[in-house]
Amino acid sequence: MTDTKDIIVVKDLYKHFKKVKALDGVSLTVEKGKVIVVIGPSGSGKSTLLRCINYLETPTKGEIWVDGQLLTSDQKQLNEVRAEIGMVFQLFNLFPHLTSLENITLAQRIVRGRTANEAEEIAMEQLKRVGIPEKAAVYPTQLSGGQQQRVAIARSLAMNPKIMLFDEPTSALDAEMIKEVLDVMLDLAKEGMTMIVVSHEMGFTRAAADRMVFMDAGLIVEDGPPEDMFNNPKEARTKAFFNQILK
Amino acid sequence: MKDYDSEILEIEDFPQKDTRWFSRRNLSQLPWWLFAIVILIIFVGILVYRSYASIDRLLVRMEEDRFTKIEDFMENDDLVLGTLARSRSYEIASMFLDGVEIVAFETITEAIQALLDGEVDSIVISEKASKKFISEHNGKLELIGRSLTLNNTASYWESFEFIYVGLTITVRVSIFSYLIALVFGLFAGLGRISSNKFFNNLSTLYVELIRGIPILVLIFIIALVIVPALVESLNGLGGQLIEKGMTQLGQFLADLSIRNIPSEWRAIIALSVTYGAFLAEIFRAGIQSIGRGQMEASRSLGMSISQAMRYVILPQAVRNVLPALGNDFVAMVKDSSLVSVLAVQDITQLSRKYTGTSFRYKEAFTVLTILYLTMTVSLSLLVRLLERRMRQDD
Ligand SMILES: Nc1ncnc2c1ncn2[C@@H]1O[C@H](COP(=O)(O)OP(=O)(O)OP(=O)(O)O)[C@@H](O)[C@H]1O
Ligand SMILES: [Mg+2]
Repeated sequence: MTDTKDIIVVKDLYKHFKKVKALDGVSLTVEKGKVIVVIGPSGSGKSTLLRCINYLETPTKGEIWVDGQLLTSDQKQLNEVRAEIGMVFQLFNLFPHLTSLENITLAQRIVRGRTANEAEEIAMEQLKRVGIPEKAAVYPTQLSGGQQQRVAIARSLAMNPKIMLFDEPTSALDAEMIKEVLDVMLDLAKEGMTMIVVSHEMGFTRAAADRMVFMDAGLIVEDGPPEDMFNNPKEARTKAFFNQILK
Repeated sequence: MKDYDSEILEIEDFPQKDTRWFSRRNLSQLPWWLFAIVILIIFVGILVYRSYASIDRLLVRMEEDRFTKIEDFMENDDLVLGTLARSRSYEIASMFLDGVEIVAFETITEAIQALLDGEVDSIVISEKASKKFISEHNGKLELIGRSLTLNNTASYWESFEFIYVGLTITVRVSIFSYLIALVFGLFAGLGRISSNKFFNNLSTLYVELIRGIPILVLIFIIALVIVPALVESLNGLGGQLIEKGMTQLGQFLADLSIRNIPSEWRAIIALSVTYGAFLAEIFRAGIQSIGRGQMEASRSLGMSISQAMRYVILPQAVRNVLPALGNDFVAMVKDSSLVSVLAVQDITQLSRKYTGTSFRYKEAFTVLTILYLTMTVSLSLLVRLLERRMRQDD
């Protein structure tokens, strides 16, 4: 399966938390270089799906294939696979005791085994890419939300991931900072990064998404090109959801 | 929200003028350690004053000329000294005045009567207590010289010189015990939050057991029961190793004797096992105070759990609990006094030793108290300073 263009394959995935069925039989295939946007009401299982893809949550049942490998609970395999999958969180999760630069070099050094010089060089490149090289020596608490999120993206990118997962990367940001983060993501999409993005930013979806996935109650309800889904959603639940968020 | 905040600020910034110097506000602005020092000075002052007032003197019949000080009793076998039974003067006199005949009286009145009757030649008594009798028997009695008890500042200095030698051991026991306790505490703290059932239960058992036993009892049981038992089982292991051919290591273990382990080290083992359990809870709380997101971000970058702990979680957790760790070091310095029960020559033990021969309880234990206070107050100050620095950094 190594030569496949399907870089992520999720087969019949279940994740139950005690009584809550966060995922209730989800299948999803993502081709290399594609951008998938996941939408859906709160509690529908969007985050859980992303977190299962890099095994931050252990699935109750089902298979996850990443770049031709079936994921298991083997820690060594997981550490290797996770290094190939960047993840960006709603609340940034920067390391507050480290500067921006140190945030970006840490995993490069201890996971990728790069020298301090190499790691710093790559970190500076990534900081330039997200537009804040001047913040290298600054601690996260002294950065705005938008700047923090951009450092978090740079931190993931410095690992040279094959896949990037974004879980509502702009929903904790003030309106004026959303654009600076979305611009970085848009550039990334244009460069051909494989991305799964949980976001209700319709502007970004129109500009970057190859496919849109609508989830509800732990299931993928509808899956298709964004324009089709915006203009004539097939499912009643999708229609109702659009009506709600566009109001 | 903004308006409400600034309203509060205004009240804070422009307090009502209060001209009374002792106003509550003025008092609360003084640093707490100033109070500590003032109280300490008053305490010492009262003690020194009181000890001057209660110097023991010799009460004698008027115009006594055979002696002028208590040491003269040792030269003259005819002289008889009177004291109160079970008093400190009695204990000291019987210990130091070799060959002197000493009569112990149950009451002062009896003693005075005996003095007037010529049965004894002098009574050891404080100036204060003697006043009443001197005026009662006007012209018959008088006070001379000074008795053996040397209740004056010089004796404070002497106690200090005897006791402070133990500071090295107090400090050494505290520091070593604390460093070892840090290691125990870190492992047990990690165990408490570990998903490994065995490690988790073991740590919980350790913490709960230790917390359920008084420290004094722990010191007895660890130093006098568990460590000797361990040494014995190591001896047995050594014997088996010799049979298996590992003679060098075997011989070393077999020759281990509890006498090779000085009580200072047994005390350190006992204290560090005890404090390890306390520190474990601090570390656990510190690690749990770090949000889940930190671990998730680390793992999503490909770090292993131990890498995430070492580079991301622990540096933050330790920083958060630094003040708590500092406070426990202060507590450790205080609890190090408990090792005196193992006859470790720390300042507490030396004080007890000193009072055992000199009976100068007041001086020795005052000096001891001040030594501990000096250490703990200055350490607490350091911890506060550290806390303030950290708050400024945030
Ligand atoms: N660790 C957990 N333990 C128990 N229940 C959980 C856990 N994580 C998620 N859930 C539950 O699983 C369901 C799906 O959660 P999930 O976070 O995936 O939803 P979501 O679509 O991302 O929602 P939102 O838009 O609010 O982020 C919810 O009902 C949630 O309460
Ligand atoms: Mg979510």
